[in-house]
Amino acid sequence: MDRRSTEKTNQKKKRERTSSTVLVRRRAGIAFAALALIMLANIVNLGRVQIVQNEYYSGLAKKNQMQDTEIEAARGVIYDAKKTILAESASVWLVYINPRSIADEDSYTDPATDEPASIGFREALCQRLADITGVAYEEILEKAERSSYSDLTIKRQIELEERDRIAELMSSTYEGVRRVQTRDGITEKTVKVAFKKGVGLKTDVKRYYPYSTLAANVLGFVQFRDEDYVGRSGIESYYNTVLSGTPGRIISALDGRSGTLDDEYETIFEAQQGHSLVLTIDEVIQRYLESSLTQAYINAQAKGAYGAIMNSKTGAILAMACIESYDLNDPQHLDASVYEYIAAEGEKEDTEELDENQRKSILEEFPDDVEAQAAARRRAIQSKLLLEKWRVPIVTDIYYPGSCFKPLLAAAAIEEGAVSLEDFNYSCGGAITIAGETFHCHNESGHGPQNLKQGLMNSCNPFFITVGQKLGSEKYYEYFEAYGFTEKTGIDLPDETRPAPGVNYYTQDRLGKVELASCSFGQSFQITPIQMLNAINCIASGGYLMTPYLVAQELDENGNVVAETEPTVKRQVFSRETAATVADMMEGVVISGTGKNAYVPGYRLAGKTGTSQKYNNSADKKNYIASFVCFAPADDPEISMILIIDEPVGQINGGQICTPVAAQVAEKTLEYLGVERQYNDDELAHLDENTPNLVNRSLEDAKALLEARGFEAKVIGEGDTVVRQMPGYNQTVPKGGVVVLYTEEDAERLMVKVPELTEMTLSQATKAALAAGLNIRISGNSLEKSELVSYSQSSEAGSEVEYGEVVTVYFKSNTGVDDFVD
Amino acid sequence: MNNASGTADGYAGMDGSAVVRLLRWLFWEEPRWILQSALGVLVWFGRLLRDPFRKKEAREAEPRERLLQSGPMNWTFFLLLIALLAIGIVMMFSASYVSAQKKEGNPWHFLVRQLIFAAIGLVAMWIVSHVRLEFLSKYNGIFYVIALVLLVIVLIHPHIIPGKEKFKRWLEVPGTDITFQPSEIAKFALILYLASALERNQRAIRTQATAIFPYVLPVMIFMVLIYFENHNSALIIVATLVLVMFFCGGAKRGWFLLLALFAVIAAIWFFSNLDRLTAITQDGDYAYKRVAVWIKLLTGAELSREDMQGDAWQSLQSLYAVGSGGLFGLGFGQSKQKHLYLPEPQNDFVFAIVCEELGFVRSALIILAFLVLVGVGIFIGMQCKNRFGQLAAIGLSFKIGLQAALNFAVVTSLIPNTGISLPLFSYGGTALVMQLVELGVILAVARDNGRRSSHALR
Repeated sequence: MDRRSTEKTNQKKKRERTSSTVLVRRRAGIAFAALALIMLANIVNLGRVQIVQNEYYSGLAKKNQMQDTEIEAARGVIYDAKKTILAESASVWLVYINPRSIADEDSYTDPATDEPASIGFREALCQRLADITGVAYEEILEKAERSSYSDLTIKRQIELEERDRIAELMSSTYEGVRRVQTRDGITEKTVKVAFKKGVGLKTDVKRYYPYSTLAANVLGFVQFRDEDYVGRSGIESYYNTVLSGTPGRIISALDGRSGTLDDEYETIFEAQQGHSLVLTIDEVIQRYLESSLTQAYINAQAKGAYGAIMNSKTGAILAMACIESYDLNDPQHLDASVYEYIAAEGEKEDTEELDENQRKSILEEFPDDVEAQAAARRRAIQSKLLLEKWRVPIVTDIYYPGSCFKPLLAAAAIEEGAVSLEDFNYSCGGAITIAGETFHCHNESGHGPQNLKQGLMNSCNPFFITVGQKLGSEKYYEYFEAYGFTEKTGIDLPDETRPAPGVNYYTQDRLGKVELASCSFGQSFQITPIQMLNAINCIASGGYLMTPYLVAQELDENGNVVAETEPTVKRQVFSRETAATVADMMEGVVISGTGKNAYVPGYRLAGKTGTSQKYNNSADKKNYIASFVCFAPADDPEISMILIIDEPVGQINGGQICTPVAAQVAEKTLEYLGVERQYNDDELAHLDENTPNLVNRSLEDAKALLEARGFEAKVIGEGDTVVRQMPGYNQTVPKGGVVVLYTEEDAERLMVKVPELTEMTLSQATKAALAAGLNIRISGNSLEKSELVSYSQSSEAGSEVEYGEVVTVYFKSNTGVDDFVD
Repeated sequence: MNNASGTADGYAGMDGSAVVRLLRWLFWEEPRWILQSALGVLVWFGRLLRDPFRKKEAREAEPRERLLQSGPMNWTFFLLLIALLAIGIVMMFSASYVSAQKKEGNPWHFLVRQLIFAAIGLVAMWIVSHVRLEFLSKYNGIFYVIALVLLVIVLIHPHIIPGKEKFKRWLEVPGTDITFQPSEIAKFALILYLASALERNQRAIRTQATAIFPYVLPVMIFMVLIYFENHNSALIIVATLVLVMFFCGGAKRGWFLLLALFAVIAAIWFFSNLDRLTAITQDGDYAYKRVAVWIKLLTGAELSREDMQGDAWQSLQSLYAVGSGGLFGLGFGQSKQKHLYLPEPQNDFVFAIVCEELGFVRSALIILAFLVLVGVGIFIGMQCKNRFGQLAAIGLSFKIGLQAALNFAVVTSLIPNTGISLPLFSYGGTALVMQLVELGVILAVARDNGRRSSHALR
């Protein structure tokens, strides 16, 4: 190779290398540009995640990192005054499904058709659950199809047996067939799915009311609302926050293994356990009140019967009954007849169960659908009736107190010196005219001349109209306010009504002479029964207006008292002397006035009857409210009581139908409270004797003992020693009663049939009982024998009892107890 | 230099029948070169040992190639990589101390080991940067042989990580608890091999489409072996690197147009079958599941609880970490997600913790720093006077850049979750040493450039 050609070759090589290097550089540049593009895409994407989706992801991360556990707070127990449990919570279960997981297990894409397919797991699960829980299959299926949810409750408050069946279901598996794509094509494959993937159990709580209907309206019940159990009515509602406590939370940072991180990340909000309540209500007294009221309610065919008993000195409510009551364990229950009624009423476009606005809004909501309108009306009526059933009429309803108000007017007039027991007299001529308006007395022929006590005993309207006029409207209104009729009593129950000024009562500027006259006998203002009881209690407590209360103590979860209700005096309305005077007048009402059926020997009841028209009167039907207020013993009252019978049929006077209830309840309650009887001489003469213990005594001794106490002896058997006696030891038997002495162990008992003893006078009943070989015990005002008629007996007529058994016969008087005029 | 002096024409000119010639061309020429090269270095070392005992004349009559060179250091590249390494180690520590404490009982566990390997790696890098390019060009067949042997051994006797029985990716250094991935060495060996191969036949490559065929076998052997490792991410990276090498090596444009066409068809098929692919989660193998989960993550589809607990867990936790970082991050050391949410935060997902703690601005700066590092590396390659140096520097730079880019994309679920670690950041001693050696090669190219230009000036 010559030099030139070498040079040429070298140049060529160089050019080649240069152009080749240029190519490499260009291509490396392209590669780098591609990489730079990828990096740029990364930065953009990073920006998207970090800036645009920052909130979204940090939220998810926090949720991921934080565990928020609720610490449940147990709801407190409700005790009665003697620590008997009236309401308590127990742990039960609830069953839920996980629709998302069900869908995950159930659905797949069929490779043959590319369509979504199912292995039937959802349907099988819903069917099994429906069988166990009794919840409708369709209802469960509807929930199971909401596959974006992971926790939907199917049924709450499941008890042990049902829980076990669900647990059993959870441990079993479902077998289904699905088609899968494999290398050999599409084949069917059996898949097993554990039922527990779709269904689970959690703990739940259930509130139990051991006495179901006892004091139901007052206690109230608990309902599941907004993810929580809350008191729906009564004490459960009023004290809901106290009872429920505050659930605690643990908010803790977790690590990825679900182990909690160090304490610095953890925040604990301790659960505040619900506090328990000790009521002032005594289950025993409540029971006395409820059973007597229920009887009166049935006898009077009334719409309702309400009563409350208050501790005269403290204002503590010892019993509060609303008849008819309902079962706290099944508060939604309505009788079949009620459902029929609702169904029928729902059809009516103008049903009176709903007010104008409700009717209108239903019509507007479903303009053309008659069926839907009826259904909406039914729903509205049903909820209205339930609400009515659950309320406590004693604090939520208002009524005309009628004559029961008269002692309060008397007290005011005496305190103000307008009248006095000694100096004031008024002669009733059957009617009185005030400013041209004539008011009649229920005794059309007139009561004649009366002093204050007699006026009250007779419940004479013209008399008290005169007293009212003497007091004057200014003073009247002052006392009206002082008695607390214009304010809430402050009792610890929800929905207490405050009478509306100008609507439910005359405000002072509207209180003319005529208005004052009608107010004087309690007929032109409306108040709640609890206000009335509280005002009457002023007389019992020596002039003090108290704040009534139902909860005596609040206990923490360890039973320590954390709060105790102190009796609160609102004000002194009148002096102790005035109170004593009026109490004495009211005792007269019970001894020989309109309240004589409330008489209980030795317990000195002081009371006042009342019978008032209801405000919902229509032309064709007049409705009444019979009421009775009382306290006892009159000289040092322990209990005050109000009894109301709403819309009685037949006998409508408080003196006829409320007073016997008062007598029964007061006697039992005072006995239960251990209040000593104070007999006067008259009562002592009529007193029953207690039987001595005769068992194991010789026959001779026994006979002598009985004779000494004024009993007759009847011997059965040939033995010398008494082995059994009837009535037994320490039974109350009227004087002259018979005691059967058995002297042989195996002697057959002498049985007799109980005769009909009701609707008889005292002597008739006594005669009939003795003839049948029974001892009769008389309950009722035994001071006025001639007027008494029996209305009830303790052993049913026709039933077989032992010879000598004591049968209590209840008497009442129907004369001189009516205090109402149309 | 071009001692093999072969071109495609050269192969065709060999003796024997056409078939035999073709077979030789496809299956023998390059393997032969690799064997020669590997044996050559052994001979070189043999002479290195023998020379002290030989006479001076004999030594001079048969001179050894010089092993070392003495060019200047490229300080830009060096300082950049040192900065990234420093940030990487610090962030790796921040990400790892919680799981180190939990798993090893010692929060310093990963840091200490990483520091030791970083020191070893830096020394190795310094040494490698002094190796003459000609030496590497001539004798890199030895790396190929070593990688091949290791790739075979790893299939026979892999180090199995509990819970990942399917994967035969790791080898244990006998007598230690040090493990490494032969595929890492394979990538390095393949880049150097292709650099020298494309240098040897640069003209033919540029002019003849078929000229790349002889290299198919050596490349395919590695890829098949890696495929049997169950190592998809390595396979993808190797394939990409091979492509880049051929591309930069001057292979005919038609090949890449063809490839682009295939890619477009594959992409169309993939996206038209998205829903069907997602449905295979149940019975599909693990790669399928990861892809399916990725599609769900990308399209915002609702993840099943099983997904969230299983395949999507890591990706989701990573997104939570990245997403909660915001513009400026939670502050150094303040990551919440490293508290055992993100599995192995010291490893493939260290960048998620970086994002969470340092925020978008600093994370983006780190990404840019990687891009600059790669850019400088490629620039060093462009400056090189010989083809081997060019392609080695470009290939190795691109490898670092590609791994980083894929890692960033995985962390933000831009691509499915594959096991790609972040160079200089992720924990892994042997991998770090390997990366530093690779960077050492780039520095060696830089020294070569500097040496030649100073020589030229003189």
